[in-house]
Amino acid sequence: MTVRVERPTFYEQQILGAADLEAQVVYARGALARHERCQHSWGVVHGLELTKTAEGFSVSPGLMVDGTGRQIVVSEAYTYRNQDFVDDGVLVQGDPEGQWYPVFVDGVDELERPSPFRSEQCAAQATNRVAENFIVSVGRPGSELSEPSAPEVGDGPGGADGSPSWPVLVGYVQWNGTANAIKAASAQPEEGKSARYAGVYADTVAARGGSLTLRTRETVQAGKPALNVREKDDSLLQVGKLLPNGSIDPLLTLNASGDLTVTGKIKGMLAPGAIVSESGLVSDGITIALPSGVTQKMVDDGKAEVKVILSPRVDPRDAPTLPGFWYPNVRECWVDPERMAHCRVLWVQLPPLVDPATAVETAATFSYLIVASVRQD
Amino acid sequence: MATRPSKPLLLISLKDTGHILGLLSREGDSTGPRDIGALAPTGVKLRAPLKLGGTQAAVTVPAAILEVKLLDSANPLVREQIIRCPASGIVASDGTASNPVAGDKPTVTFHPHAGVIDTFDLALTAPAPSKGLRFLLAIEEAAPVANRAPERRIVKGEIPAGTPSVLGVPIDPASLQPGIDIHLAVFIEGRALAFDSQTLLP
Repeated sequence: MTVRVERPTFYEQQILGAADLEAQVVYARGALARHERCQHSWGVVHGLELTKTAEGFSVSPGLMVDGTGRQIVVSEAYTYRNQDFVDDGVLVQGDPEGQWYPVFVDGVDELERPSPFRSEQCAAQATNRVAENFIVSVGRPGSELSEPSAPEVGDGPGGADGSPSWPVLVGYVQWNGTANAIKAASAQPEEGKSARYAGVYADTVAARGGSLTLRTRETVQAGKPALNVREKDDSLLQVGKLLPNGSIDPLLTLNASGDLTVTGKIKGMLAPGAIVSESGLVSDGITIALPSGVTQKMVDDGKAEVKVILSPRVDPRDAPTLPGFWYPNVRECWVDPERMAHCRVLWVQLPPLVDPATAVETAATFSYLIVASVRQD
Repeated sequence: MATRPSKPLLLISLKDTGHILGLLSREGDSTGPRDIGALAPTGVKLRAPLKLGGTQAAVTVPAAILEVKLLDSANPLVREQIIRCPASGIVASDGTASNPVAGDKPTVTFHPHAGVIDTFDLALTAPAPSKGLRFLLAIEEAAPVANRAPERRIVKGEIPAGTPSVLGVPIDPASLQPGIDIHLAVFIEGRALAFDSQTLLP
């Protein structure tokens, strides 16, 4: 049997060598890495926020776990300078202004220099401390999409001296080519671009106080969305926006009787037999849109039947601006099979200022009512 | 006097010049649908005001050059005017609507070459402002032969800054035959929509 994970053990009067002590450290680090890697998804755990500064951009103190399960601590704010961006060769001629470049943090081991005053090290260059350091780098657009190969299940953390590290995306920066300086820095500059945040793999998430909340921000921020599973106030589930005190202003509530209450409208597929309607104004030549929940495919497939009523909506203010009394004559008020509205009004001047040449037929805006019923099969 | 609804208006407008061609409002779901496929799947057939005994000028503007914008906070007077006559307004890219500049009706003159009408001149009386004036011309054959779709052309361009006209604008494809009657809808940035009917002269 192949033993992948080895735990050191000791006995009385054993002479302990450096390897024995090192095995203890390796075992503990490996166990932690396996937990971080297998029970959590990797990414930023805390902090590591990007801020544009005059010198370049800074990465705030924080903690992250990479894809090997290695914890990386940034204990002090780190500044990445504008000149670093140039020296690292990130830019390529022709890069458009406004391009977002990914920013990574890697965890790396750095062996500290051995002490020159210790006699037992006269013949060896070994060290008794390893600095768990980090590197901040900026990559080419798109480089954040590739991911290193996942380690074997029994492997320990990566980033040891001589072994590859696992970069973690912490945000994006923009470059100002005119000023030769960082233009902007953000964790989430636009839809689809975001720092990688750590998560959790869990089939059960259990609360202890009778209320379990999911929210989209680390701290309570009023107005941000949240979901709450709860045992009180006859509501089992609430979805809504957070209030400053951390409670939810519900948009959707499910109570213990199974009643669902929503403050908006329910859209989507309609139940057989459902009847929905919509009304409003439509102008000449425009297609009357189907009510919410009814699709053109449902109509084409005969699963929904649509009726439209178009009503003239003639207002004296719609008359020509010439003086006199104008009489409206509805010339067209109908909807064709494609639901396009035909709305035309002929305005005729009445005595005493009658001039047939002034009569004019114009496009108009009429009122409509559209009703759709879903067939019961 | 009728009560005017205050719900947002879905405006169907030209992408290039912002001219409003039509509207739809919905009392229940006032902000949707926003796709042109739902409101003008085959385009918008624009019909000019028709004088008694006159000829109806009509042009179909294809859906591909149209977009839907939501107007929910227009000046009440502009909103009123759009409801009364949608094709009289212009909607800006930020969704605000405004009245176009009145007067200065454009003149369109077509030119034949090698047996087909392949260019036209578009002229205003006042010169275009410093950023020029984008325009779009929709041309449609007035009386096509039975069972044949009318010839249609959409031509885009710009009247250069400081000049009142643009000359020799190519028509693509250049296959309009002299002698046919056509209807025109002329959309010039910031100006009122203008209709015209002509016979293409050889």
